Amino acid sequence: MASSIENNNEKLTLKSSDGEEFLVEKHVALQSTLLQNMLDSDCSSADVIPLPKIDARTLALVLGYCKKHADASSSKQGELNSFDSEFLKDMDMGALFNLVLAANFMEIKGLLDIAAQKIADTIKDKPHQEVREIFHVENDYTPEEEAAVREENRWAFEGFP
Amino acid sequence: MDSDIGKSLDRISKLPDSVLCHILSFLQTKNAVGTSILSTRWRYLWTFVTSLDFDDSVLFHDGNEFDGCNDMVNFSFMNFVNRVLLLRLRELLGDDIRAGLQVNPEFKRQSFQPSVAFRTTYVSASSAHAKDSSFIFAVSGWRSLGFSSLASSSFSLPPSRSRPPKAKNESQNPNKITTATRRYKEESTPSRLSNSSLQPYEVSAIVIDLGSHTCKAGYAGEDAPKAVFPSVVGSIDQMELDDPDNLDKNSESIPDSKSVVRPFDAEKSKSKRKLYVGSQALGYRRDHMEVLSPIKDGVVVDWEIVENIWDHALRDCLLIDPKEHPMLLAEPSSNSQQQREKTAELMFEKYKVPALFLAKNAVLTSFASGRATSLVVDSGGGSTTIAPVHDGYVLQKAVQSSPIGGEFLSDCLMKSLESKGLTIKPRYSFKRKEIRPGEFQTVDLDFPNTTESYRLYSQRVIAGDIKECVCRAPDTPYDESSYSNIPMTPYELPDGQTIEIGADRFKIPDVLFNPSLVQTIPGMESFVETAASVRGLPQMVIESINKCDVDIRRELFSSILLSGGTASMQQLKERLEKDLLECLDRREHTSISWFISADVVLQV
Repeated sequence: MASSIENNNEKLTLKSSDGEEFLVEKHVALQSTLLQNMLDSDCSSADVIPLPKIDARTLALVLGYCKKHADASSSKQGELNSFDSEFLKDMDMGALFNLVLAANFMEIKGLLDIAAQKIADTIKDKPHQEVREIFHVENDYTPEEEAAVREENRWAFEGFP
Repeated sequence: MDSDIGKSLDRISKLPDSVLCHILSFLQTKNAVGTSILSTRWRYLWTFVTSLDFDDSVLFHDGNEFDGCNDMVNFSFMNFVNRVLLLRLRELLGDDIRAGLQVNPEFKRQSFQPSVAFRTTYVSASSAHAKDSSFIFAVSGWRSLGFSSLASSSFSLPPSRSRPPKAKNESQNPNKITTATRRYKEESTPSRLSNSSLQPYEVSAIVIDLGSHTCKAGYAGEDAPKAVFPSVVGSIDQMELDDPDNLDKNSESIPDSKSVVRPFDAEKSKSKRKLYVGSQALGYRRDHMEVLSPIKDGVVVDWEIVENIWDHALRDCLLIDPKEHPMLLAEPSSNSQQQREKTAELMFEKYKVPALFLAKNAVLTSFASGRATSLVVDSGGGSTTIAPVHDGYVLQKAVQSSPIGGEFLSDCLMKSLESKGLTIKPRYSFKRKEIRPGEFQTVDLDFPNTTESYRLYSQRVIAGDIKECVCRAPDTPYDESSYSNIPMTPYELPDGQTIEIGADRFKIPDVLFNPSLVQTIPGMESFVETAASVRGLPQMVIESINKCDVDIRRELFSSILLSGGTASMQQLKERLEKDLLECLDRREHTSISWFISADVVLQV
């Protein structure tokens, strides 16, 4: 860790799946457990860290989040909270899923949590037909199977049509 | 990625399991389980969610909460909770689940009583360290019972989700849970020292065993209970104490400030009585003080008294705050659903304990000696119960019990002595002065206002002591002629009078083995009809074992555990062993090994 402290102003280059490169400060990158582990185990000898699972648009969002949290780590929690809620506010589902995957891959716990929470809020208290529609989940149960699942946990479907 | 692609594709189902579970963990459990209907991909996803909350308030919406038609839903919910709990427990404890846990069988079967609200049930499990860790279900509701791993002697509190690995030496003896010990005569000095060395997140559980005769309380994992005091309380009706002088005199003359005086809140208590708990408070005679027992025929009839006893145990003897300690209560094998409910209600609502577990006496005894299967012969103060324990469960069908316990034997002894013209003078009824060195004078005192029940209580205390000191089980069935010439044993009563006890030494304990012997004791006639239906100890043991499955009989025979105060009677073990072998000789050859439970619960 000592090296990462003294090289605090060092910059890393991250490369998205579509080839775009991002220059980030090290302390921002450290928000990601994945990158932190890479740096700790000295895998950073290569100039560019490829992130083949994340496209440029998502990576930009992720880094935006990381920067805010890295810079504001000492500032007020309330400010961060409002940033978090604003951050995901108008995001469409596709982008949200990308974000969740990216957060999961890069192991950014805070981001993963808020994104998962956002998706959970969408599912919450909606009848399952509606949930299927929103997420385009294809119902591959046979009617008999569906009835069996419903019977299995009858209480959970109470109150929904 | 573009949103139009998102629209046509089922993106969410393609997320990795871990991410989906993470999302589900942000949902109410009801919603999470509800997602199982979405598609086959989702069917079992929720089962991987690590935090579930069982909150049935979600079932009671739109004000139709106690609608009878909800029964099916309730049942389904209960069923669900049970399945999840069992699944989780198995995951956590592996094969130890059967040894370490006792799942309340009623819990599975119960149907909802609409009048009782089933409140939020909070479950926290330290799922990270499987076998090594303790595991708590803290159930803050009325209905359900908490259960915790009996395997560990200390618990972690709900806020600390995962706990540091336990000290190894503690976990090496996984089944050790100590309930009580052999002979503790006095209330021990209050102490909380045992707590201080523990890690910050660990507090030891408190164990309370409210027996019919004695209440034992202490810390789990210790060899002996910290507090042992009678299960009876003194009660003075406040109506009769309207006279202020009388009241003053009473409170002034309380000999020791430690005596527990628990005045009742007049508004709260309808009966307006003052209760005195603890052997010191009871040892002092008071005008009009009745001695009451909260338990009748193994069932708690007066919860107010029970509350006071718990208060005394926790606040006066152990000096702890019940909010901080998980609680383990020992209950009789025959405890009913209502009793458990009430107990849980009191514990959670009044004492606000973080976690509660009710364990059957027999199971605890069995675990205390490190076995999951055994036949527990519990001969206590009020009754004798024989309960086979298999894999940590009491086999209810095979439980045998008889009303012959220590108190009954004491009564027999007292009556028998009375018939010989010896009356036991209660300690309060005389004063004893040393007039010259070595020479004492006894002056009888007269207290007309002493109640009959207090006199009886005081006499029983003495009779109990005589019994403990001199009685021993005879090697062969008692018969009048062969024991008529045995030497007398002296016993000095509190008033200095020395009595000689002869054949009664053996006759009284033999009542355990041969209840019909009661007929020959003058003054016990009232029991004679009952005696006909009560069998002796060896017969009960054999009957109980014969009611069990053939496969486990052998194992039961090989580990018979004696517990309870009466069982610690001299020679009782040898006699029972001998009788059993005689009965068995004719039928099968079984090797019997014997173990007296290391920590015999005191119930003289």
